Amino acid sequence: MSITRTGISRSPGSASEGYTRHPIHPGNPGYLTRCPGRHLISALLAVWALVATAAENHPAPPLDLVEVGKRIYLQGVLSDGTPLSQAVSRSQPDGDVTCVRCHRRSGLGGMEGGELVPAITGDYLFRNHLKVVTEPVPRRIKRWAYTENAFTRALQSGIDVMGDPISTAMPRYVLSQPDTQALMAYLRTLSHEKSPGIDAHTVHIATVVDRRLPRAERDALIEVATHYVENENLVIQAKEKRARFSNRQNNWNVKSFRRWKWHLWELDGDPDSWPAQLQSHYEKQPVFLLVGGAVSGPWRPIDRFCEARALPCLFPHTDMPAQGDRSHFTFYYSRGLELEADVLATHLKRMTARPGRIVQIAPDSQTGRYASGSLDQALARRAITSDTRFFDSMETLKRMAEEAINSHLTLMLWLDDDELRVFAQTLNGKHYDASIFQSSSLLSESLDHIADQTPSQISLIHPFTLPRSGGDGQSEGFLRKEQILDQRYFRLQSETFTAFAALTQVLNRIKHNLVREYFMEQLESLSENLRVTSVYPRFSLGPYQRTVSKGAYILPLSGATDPSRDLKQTWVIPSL
Amino acid sequence: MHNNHIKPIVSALLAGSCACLSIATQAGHLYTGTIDGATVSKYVSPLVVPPVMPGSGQVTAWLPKNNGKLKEKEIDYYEIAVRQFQQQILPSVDGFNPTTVWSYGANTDKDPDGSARTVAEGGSFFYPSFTLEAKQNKPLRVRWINDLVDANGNYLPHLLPVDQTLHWANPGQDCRPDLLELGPGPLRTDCRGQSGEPYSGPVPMVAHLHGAHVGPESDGYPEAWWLPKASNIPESFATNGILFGDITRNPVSGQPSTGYAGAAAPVNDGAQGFADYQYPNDQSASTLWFHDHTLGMTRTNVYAGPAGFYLLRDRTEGALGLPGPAPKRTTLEDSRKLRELPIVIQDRSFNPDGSLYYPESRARFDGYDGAVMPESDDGVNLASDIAPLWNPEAFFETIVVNGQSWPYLDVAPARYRLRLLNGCNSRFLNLNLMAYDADNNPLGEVPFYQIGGDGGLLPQVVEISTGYKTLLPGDGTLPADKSAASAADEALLMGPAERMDVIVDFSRVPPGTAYVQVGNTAPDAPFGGFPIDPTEMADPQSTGQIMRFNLSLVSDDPDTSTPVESLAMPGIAPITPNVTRALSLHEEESSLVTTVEDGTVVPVAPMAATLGAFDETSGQFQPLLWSDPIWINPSLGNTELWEINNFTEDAHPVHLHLVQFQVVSRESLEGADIDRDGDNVSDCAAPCVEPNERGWKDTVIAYPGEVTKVVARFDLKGLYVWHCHILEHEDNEMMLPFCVGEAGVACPQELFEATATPPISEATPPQPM
Repeated sequence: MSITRTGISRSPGSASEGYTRHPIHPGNPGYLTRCPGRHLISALLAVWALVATAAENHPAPPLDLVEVGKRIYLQGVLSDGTPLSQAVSRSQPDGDVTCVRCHRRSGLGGMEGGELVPAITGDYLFRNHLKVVTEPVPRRIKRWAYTENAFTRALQSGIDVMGDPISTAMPRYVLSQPDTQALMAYLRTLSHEKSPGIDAHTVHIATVVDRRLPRAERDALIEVATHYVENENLVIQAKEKRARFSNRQNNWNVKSFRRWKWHLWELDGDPDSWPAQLQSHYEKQPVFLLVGGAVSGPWRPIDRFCEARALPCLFPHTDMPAQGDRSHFTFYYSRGLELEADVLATHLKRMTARPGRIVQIAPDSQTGRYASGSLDQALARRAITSDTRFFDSMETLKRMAEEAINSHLTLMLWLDDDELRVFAQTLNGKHYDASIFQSSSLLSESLDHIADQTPSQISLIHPFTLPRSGGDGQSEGFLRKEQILDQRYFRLQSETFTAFAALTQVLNRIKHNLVREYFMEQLESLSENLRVTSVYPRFSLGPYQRTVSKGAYILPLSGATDPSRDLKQTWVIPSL
Repeated sequence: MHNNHIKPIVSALLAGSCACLSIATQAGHLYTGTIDGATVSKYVSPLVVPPVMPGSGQVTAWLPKNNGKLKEKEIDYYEIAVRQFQQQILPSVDGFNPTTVWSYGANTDKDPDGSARTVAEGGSFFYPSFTLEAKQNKPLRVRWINDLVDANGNYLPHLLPVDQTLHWANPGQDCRPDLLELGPGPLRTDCRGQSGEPYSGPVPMVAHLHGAHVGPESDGYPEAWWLPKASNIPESFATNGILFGDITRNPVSGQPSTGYAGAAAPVNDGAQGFADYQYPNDQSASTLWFHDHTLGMTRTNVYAGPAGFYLLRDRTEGALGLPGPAPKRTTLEDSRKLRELPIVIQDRSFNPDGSLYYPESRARFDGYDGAVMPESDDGVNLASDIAPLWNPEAFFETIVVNGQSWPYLDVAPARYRLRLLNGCNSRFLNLNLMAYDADNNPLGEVPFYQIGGDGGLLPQVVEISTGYKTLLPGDGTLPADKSAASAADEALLMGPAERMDVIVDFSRVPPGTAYVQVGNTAPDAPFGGFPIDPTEMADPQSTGQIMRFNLSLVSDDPDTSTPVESLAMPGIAPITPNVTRALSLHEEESSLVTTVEDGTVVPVAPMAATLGAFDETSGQFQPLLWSDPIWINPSLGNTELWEINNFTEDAHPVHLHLVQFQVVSRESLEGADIDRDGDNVSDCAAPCVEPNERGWKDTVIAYPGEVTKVVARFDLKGLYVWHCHILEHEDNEMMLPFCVGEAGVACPQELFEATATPPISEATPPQPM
């Protein structure tokens, strides 16, 4: 079935070739400002069928040639070690003019500063594109494959293979012939092979769970995963069914209805043994990515494994992401305890009165040392001194609390719910001159409950949503509907749901580009539009950023649940 | 039109070869910058039950007697104006400002400064409008006045962005010659406009009584709109639509309608700011509603407010002993005494200043903010075929019930009759009732007992809760075994414009119930059937909640209404078609806004959805445009079976004017059992008509991949429309005229061809069927 009418009227023959060459009215300023890349777009034009040509049938290029090209593409370093730079008549300001900056690691392009950046993989560039189109009017659309000469000319003078000018957003380069050949060789490899763990019909995904976690916590997580995946496959099946008679589907094959195959990767024993365990899981069934997951202690071992394997990992539940390491493959909700430390340090630095010495009270545990160590470093960077008291029992905590309360120093508490109650009993009713802060990540009870139970002079460092401010409704609705809600582990369950929900949205977007890098680029671009943000107020990701929630509230408990107070003002994003 | 809700997006104009191109801007279900529904205080505003619309006395009409002759008779008369005013919709306890809205009210409720006297000021202006009460066979006449003018008599501009590139009312007669291929020619309205800017002129309006059996001159044809009688209407503007008419003059025949007793009086020339419509009320008791229906801008006109209930009553219904009373007065009554409540559920978004928000750009849908449609490189070819402001669907994050966000109602442990209307633009509702104790613990679902649908009473009461739709035998018993609904998640499912007349028995709630909350689990996205994608499901913190009934009243009066299990519902005789008509629903993708996926060009943007019909010449279903010649010409008196084939991915609520129909069946387009979830197990036994669809209906959900068959008798001559009631679809080509003619005689086609836009395709249009 084809539609022979559209909402557009056109006389036959009035478009055709001219249409291809001059698609945009030169006097259309709106479009000019929005997308100066238009000429390149038209040059790389449309393409219904592809005619393979000799250009495609190159023998595999020597590896070192690809490596040279890769260095040009990713680092902007030419074969002789000099930096890639713009031609004399440069169209762009100097700075980062590497290919990867705009065309991304996948080479599949995207949007940069509101402008369209076209794909430049070999699969797109070095093939002929030819198709006779009948709708809405008959026209032939073609774009020849780039030869080495055409490619050189495009780079150097900004004229595309069809003779049309390329957007001035694209820098002009002069490359030697060997460098040009190396770059072309690299582009041919770029996103050419699909990633493991995915094909047109199935995507394999895995969730890492540490067996040392309490049984109930593991179950709470695993139930969300199994219910989500089962539900998702039903939804995909139903959507595929619904689409069966859709023109859009039949004519254009827009969506793919890939089924999810979920794997539970359980980890035993010491974290030192985890890389081998992860490798073993991976070898049994390579997965396209990891999603959600939780371990006791830092996430770093899994983060490092993912870096080594180039395996994306989506939103694990952790307060201790890979501290200090720059991850490319793991996306975190936030920097966890390290973020809380940074937020507090920023806040203290901003206070007009010098805060003096900060005293931290933390359990003598991996969490306590991780948290207090993070704050020590954050304060040191701001020339504020700190001092940590570790307790190993409730008695010690009580004694420390009494001492601290008499000291009238600024306090940071890294306590859990029970410990905070002990501290609160000690503080109860006593006058306290300085500020007291408490980590919110380490508490599991609801904010309303905490506010009821806790002395009002305490402020929470709260990297989560405010009461009644949305974000986690979808996950709660799902958990209730599936009857798997476990209030003790709501954050874990909500974060797990949200990781899977993000996966749904991004997988819908990658369509036939089954490449991990492209998946991650799409997640970046979609981050602000993820429908579900779990227990966080909002998400955003710049290129190559890997934490979606970047700040925390400093929430005075005296007003935390007062609907008339505008608590949004207390959101702090760390700065030095 | 799915683009996965978070729409993948593109601006690869003219097939740019980027694999991705995503600049989606719609964050979740929220429109960036609007008030987040989750943060609005809920159940702090009492439900307002609209009072009865004040009348304006009586007028003389000609009414037919049994012998066919006409007789002069006095009938009730209303003068109803639409005006702009402010109303507190969001809770004032949150510090929200009142919202500027439009609605209907009695014309006399006008302050000396020209402003509308609102219900808060003792007047009748309220959003939603006061209710029109009507009795069977008692005709009623309304002068509908477009009074969108300011204190100086100057026209008020629209509150919301109107896209002028659609085929719309276009009072400025700014038609696109490139589309018409006519070159300069006579000025006309009701065409696609040239400007990509939002419309800023006087607002066209035309009132339609949804579900009414009414003559064509009073049906509110989309091209029968009129402007307010403002002092500053630009000279180049037409004051009325191309097919303006009322009872003083049928636009097609040129004659006054038979009911009009004022043949000697001046004929309405369309420049008076009003039209006189007459409703015969010769149909069964039913929950009708009136709303604006102007071509290409119904979505924004209705979103601004103008809509209200029209409750038609008859003796059969009166004898059933249904819960009551309904509001009787023309002023606000103590809602604690009411047991029959019209309830319209709508979704809206608000700017931080309290004003209504409606998407101002296509970019809000899928990020596409490319060239404005009319621009072209050579004056003929278009840079884009995407309308710049129109959004294919729109979902909003605040639930507004009878003009209040998330209201509550204090109720007694008794039976209540709720006349529910889904008044949303695009949103389907899947409603449930959940009982909670005083500590907010859920105690279990409370069923709806549906007694009526769009066009009147059902032949059997249907008990509905999530996963179940059970027919009550009507013998005083409640079946112990419940019947499964078509889907486990299906509850009281309502497409836009559908009405469901239900009884809720608050005397049979679980022990310890403090309140019963109305919940919604339909998606914040286009509905296509169950299961719902959990990432699209209504947000439990906002759109997943509707309103709350607090069981706080103690009633001393015994509940004299008939228990639901004892209701003796009247039967409905099936009607038999003598003509079958094959029709279709289509989606159209952009031809120009495309991208490359794996070397294949794919469109990236939905352009419109359309209706169509089977073309015997080509053997194919043919999508048709509003501007095409009229294909659908039921002969007067014929009973037709309409087979609505849905070739889209979404469910569409299909509405026919003039008639109430019976749903005959739903069948898979694959010729197999209905299998909506693709698990190869039948979801719905043939004929797949839901138990609560077995009464008269005027709006039916057509599921994707299915043919939905309805049968209706076409017994009044003239020009009407049928359309998808997703208002965004209706406004952009998912609406077609149909013309009922004399038996064997085609409609007076030339009357339309002379003025209507010529067909768009070069193909020879097939002959009318």
